[in-house]
Amino acid sequence: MRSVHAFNLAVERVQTALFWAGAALGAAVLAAVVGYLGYGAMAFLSRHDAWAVVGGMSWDPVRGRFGMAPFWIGSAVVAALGLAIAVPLGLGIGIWAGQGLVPALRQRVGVYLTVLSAVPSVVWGWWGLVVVVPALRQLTGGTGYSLAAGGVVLGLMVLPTFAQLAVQAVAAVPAAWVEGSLALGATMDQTLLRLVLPAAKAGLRRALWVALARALGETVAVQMVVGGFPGRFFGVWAPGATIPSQILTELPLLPPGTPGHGALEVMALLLVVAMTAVTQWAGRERRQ
Amino acid sequence: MPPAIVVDRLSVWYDGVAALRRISLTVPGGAVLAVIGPSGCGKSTFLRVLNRLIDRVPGVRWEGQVYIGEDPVLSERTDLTRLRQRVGMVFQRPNPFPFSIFDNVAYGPRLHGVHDPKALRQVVEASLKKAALWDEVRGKLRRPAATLSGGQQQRLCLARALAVDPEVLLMDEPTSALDPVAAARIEELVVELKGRYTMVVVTHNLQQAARISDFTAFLQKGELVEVGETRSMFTAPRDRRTEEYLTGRLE
Amino acid sequence: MGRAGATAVRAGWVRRLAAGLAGLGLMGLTAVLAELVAQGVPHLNWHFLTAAPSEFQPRGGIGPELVNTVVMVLAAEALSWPLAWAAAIWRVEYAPRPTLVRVYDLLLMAFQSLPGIALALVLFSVLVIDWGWPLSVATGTVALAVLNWPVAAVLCQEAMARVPEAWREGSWALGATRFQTLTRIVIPAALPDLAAGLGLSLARLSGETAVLIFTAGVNVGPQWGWFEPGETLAVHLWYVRTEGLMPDRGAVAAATGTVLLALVALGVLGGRWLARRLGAPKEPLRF
Repeated sequence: MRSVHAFNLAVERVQTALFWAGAALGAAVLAAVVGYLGYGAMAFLSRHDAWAVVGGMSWDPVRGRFGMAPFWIGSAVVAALGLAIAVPLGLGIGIWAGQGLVPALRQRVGVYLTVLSAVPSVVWGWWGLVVVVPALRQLTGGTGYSLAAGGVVLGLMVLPTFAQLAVQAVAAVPAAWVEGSLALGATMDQTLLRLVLPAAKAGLRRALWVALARALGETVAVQMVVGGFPGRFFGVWAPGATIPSQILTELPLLPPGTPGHGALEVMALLLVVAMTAVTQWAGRERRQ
Repeated sequence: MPPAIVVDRLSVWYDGVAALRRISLTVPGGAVLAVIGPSGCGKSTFLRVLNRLIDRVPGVRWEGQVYIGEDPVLSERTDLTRLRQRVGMVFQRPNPFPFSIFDNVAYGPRLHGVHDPKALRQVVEASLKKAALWDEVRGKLRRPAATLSGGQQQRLCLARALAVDPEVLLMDEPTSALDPVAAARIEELVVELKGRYTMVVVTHNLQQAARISDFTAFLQKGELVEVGETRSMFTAPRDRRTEEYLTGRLE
Repeated sequence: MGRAGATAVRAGWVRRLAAGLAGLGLMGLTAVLAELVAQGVPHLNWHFLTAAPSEFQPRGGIGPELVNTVVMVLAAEALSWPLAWAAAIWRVEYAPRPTLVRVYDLLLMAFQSLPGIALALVLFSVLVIDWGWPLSVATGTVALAVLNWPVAAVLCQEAMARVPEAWREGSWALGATRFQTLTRIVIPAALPDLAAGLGLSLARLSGETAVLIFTAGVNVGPQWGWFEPGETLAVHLWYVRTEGLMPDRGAVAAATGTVLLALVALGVLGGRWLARRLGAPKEPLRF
């Protein structure tokens, strides 16, 4: 008996060590990424006027001007437009499938949304180039490449993710509550507005944060249709850039070692901070 | 005077499978009817026909008619909102909404257009008093309903039902999820409210049926085996199957 | 004769509005995929699937890209899942100190929300510039594995957390060690969720673009090798549509996207199929 016990203890020790290695390696990679960005960004900011970099409106690396405010504005505009499209449609899908469908059918819709949410971002970008940009060209007369095009593409891209979480949030409202409300003489509409949506609020807020995180971090789909930074901010219907799309465009022009490269690291670091904050909020909703 | 309930040859099918077969009975206004019977006998179905919550089940079909007072329940023209306001329901498991105690009770009145804060306060207080919960929650009305104990939650649900001023109360095994003390308080309430509301109480507990009801209906496999005054039915059942069930030889 | 109530009560404006928006949304999404498939399918044939891509001429193929995508995604999964699984087992089944767990959770969440482009920037700087790794299949595989690690760790973690605590206690009460409980109770019970999660992560990696542009490159070598440039389907689609010069780039892009879409659907649905075969619970794990 004793030897079995000793063997078990030895197995446990090996296991623990192995699991430690796995966890530690992952954590180390993350720490390295954040540390590398942080070091590069700090070094860059110490050489430049930090406020002129983070809040400046003029971006011209060749002349040593690194104001990245236009990209913040671009990111905000594109994300806001995307959510303005995805949230109403997603809420509609959430209410329709979450309370209106029998569970078997709801699950079908859920599978379809899962497949859609896994569709690569280049596919949405491709659609933006083939459909959205020409349509906007007709509509506004410019090239069609614009922040607005980026917003439309993002809206459709984050819709499956948002809708999926919205369906889950709405469907999670217990049938006993719905029946309790109906038994008091509420119509289904009243029940939806006064009971189901308030009860699903935490889940819906989480869906919003997750969608926002996806919208802020999206690179390729936006970069394909947004047109690139034209030198200053010309508005929603004009070409522009977001933080990720600008990093993608500039990285080949400002490779590591060049004086301007640090500006990209500042952008990436701030993006990481912003997205971590958004994800934290989403996680908080989940715990409630 | 609360209305009588008349059930006339009621049959219900789920996807073609009969759940209730030609049930006919009458509950005089203000009386308490206990519905007893083994699991799956159609007790809950019967209750949910009375306020048409049965409509939520896909593939349901019915025949026959139910009258509450003069008004038919199973008609195309039945106003479900109005019907459910007249016919309150307390469920098997307490199902308070995820709101405060106050908002739970005020939910019904608000639905039906009461928004004046003073009037709402009065309705909430009166309903909580009727449900014998007022003394325990006075001054804590803003707390989440989920912080109450199970028995308190069930009385809150009763108060919520009473707040829309119903004439009929349906209770679906209202004490089966509660401890004996909390269950006894609900029973007391049923006896207290007798006469003011016509009540139909589904129960698993035969002693409970004997204690609280004026009439008892025994259902088995969707059929009404026997219905009659509780006292005579429990002492001298007319049907052999009822006798077997009451003496515990069946279940 | 009564009718089912759903017809007796007419839907109010909230439900009608919701159904309208839902229809609009789902049709919009479906229209995008339909457009892609409609434009892509006519260009699909054996030659396209096997031939090498061409930079300036028409009738280039996607053979190397297809191979690269499959090889890199599978290799990245093989690298990242064992590590992710080990970490998840440690987190769910062992997790010795609460402070450590809190730090780990925070790191994992930050890692999970790490934007791909930030990772691309760092990996490009460190792997390619500082360490001199070539833009290649191998470098791209490592990048994908790093990207996939936190996602896989969270998937494993949630799959195992869904196994009821009472089962573990039952096993321990019979004298089983933690490790025996893990291998005989927890992992078998978590397998369906893990299968579905693996399918989903295969799909996600197949579509990854930003990181690969700077680690695997945007072209392919004359013959396949771990240290040859390793453009994938997603990167090819991006490259063709933004910088491609071939005259038939519209058709090439749509056809590439169609193949990519098929791979993604294969991943997601294959994972779900496997999960069902392994006896998944009725309600699937929510991702």
